[in-house]
Amino acid sequence: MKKIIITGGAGFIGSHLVRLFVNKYPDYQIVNLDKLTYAGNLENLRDVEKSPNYKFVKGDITDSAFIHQLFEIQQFDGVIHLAAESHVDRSIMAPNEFIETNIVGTFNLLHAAKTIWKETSDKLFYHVSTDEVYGSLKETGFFVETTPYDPRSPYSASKASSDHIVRAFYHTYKLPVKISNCSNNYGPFQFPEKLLPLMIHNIKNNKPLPVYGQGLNIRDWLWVEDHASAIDVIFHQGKIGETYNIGGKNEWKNIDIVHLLCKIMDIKLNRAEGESAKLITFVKDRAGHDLRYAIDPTKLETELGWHPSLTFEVGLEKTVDWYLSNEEWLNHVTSGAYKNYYDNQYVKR
Amino acid sequence: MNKRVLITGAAGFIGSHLCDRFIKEGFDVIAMDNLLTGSLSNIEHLFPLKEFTFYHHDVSKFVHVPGQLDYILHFASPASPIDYLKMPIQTLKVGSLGTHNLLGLALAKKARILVASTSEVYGDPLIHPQTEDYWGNVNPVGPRGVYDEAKRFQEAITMAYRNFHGVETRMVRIFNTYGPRMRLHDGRALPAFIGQALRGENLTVFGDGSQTRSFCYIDDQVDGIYRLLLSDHSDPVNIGNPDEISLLDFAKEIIELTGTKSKLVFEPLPVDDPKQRQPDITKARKILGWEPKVNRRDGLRITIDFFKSLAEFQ
Repeated sequence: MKKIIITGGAGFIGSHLVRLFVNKYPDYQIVNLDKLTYAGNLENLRDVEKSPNYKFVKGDITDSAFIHQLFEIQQFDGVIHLAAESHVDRSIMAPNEFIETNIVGTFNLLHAAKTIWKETSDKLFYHVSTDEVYGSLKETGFFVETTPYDPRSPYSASKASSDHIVRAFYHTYKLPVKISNCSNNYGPFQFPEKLLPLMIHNIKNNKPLPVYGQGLNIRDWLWVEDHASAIDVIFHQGKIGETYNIGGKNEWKNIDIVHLLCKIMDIKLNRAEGESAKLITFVKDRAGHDLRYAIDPTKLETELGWHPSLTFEVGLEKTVDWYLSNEEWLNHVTSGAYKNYYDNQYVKR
Repeated sequence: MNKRVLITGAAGFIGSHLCDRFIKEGFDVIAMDNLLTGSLSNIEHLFPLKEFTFYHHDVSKFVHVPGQLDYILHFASPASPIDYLKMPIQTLKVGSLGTHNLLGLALAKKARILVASTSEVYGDPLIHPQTEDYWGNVNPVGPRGVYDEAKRFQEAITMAYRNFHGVETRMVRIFNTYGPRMRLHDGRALPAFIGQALRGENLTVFGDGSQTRSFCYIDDQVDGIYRLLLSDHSDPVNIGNPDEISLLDFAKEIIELTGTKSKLVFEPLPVDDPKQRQPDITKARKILGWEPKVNRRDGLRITIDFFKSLAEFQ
């Protein structure tokens, strides 16, 4: 039996990973450690919460004493670390928590693992990170695993720091680690501050669709369940000490995605073609907005045989369907605090 | 669907035993603790159960628990003088702000709440034994004031929530309780004596040892709390063991039960150390049909065995 702690398991990507592991590996004990910040929501995991191999623990990775005690009594065999503050806009407004959670929190987990794990041959510390650590691309080129780090927002800088600390624990203390850097994710259960759910929500409610700048920034989009399946493959088959880029070779300009969404939603909502697109409103660009991200996942595809399971058009339609049929979920997570955030970010700009 | 109970202070001595009891009774338990004085080792054995969930959280801050709650038991607080003297502000906050947060949660969830009060609300009592209608003799600015007054405020705000908001409230006034999972170094007489005896050191008696204590075994305490929660009685109820013993005789009893060759040494009495504390449990007997079942010598044997099993004595 393996006991694995997944941090940030109540978040967007984390909940998909928890679901995959709980269902696919009934002989693993999965402990989901989450602080339940605004972005963590146990409603994301209703379907697995009564599974005998699943356990939720509420806690904060910045609390080193607690993390140490938890590792001591639980004797985990593996760590999959996703807990992080992840929204770039929030990191621009208030970077403090990004430094605390993403850097100090990662260190606390590494330190606890290093201290508690006497014998490390069957242990693994898996760190989940982002392609934003590589900085911004021009019109051509791709991020590969050897691309030099060039983080440019407080968010990506905090993730880059955590990646470096994870590697330092591998090189210095021989802690068995793996790292993956993934492109933008989309799919069900994503908090509506992120581009896709925000646009879906606003299109549906005939609200303006705020697009930064001219919407020319390019992002590389991956179906969230494909990210989870990539983590699964790397966790089990990847090489210790290695880094893997995860992406679906699926680059889109923001404005093109918004138009595509409008087109899908026009059909779903029985609107005349082009009606939803009238809602598009350009707002002042994000400070230091990276132009383009694009992942080259060749290493993961050739060495470990992983491939994305569906095309963007299919995934996008599934996502729209999910948000349209889970209005209650959306209403629950968009509390008063979220409304204030939304106003500050888009309305008062 | 199982009834769902939130227990604060769940990694502490009494809280962890409450977790055991509620799990045994078929509840889903959400255990909350900030681990300031509690330890995860007390509830480690419950982690594998799907009915058990742990929330690492300080209840002095806003408390959020997703989903339905049927009962709340508020047992979070430093409770030993050495702890609350070290953490006076936290002690006052958990009794006041913490209680406020949990009463608010009880109101929001339409849950019944039981708050852990203490014989300390009687201070250095002028009547013996203490009945629930005795108002106490507390020095608000003395060293124990932070704990005593936090708990007195807790009772006041709990009554206010009952009277003003109609929250279903229960209050237990806990007298000295002992048993496994007590901390060896919590500064109280019982673990101090047992620790000294097991190390073969002399037992330190403060004053002339004529001050009395009464000790309730943990299983009895938990049973009293459990019955009170499920009763319809919202006024405070004493739960403790009226079997009174002087600290001098108690020290001798520990020497006898541990079989140590230790002797007694005497030191001056600390400020505000209560001279006598003995519960009147007439009310608990009548209302809850409860009374302690474990006699002191039996309880002490189990407790001594627990202390012997600690790493310190291996």
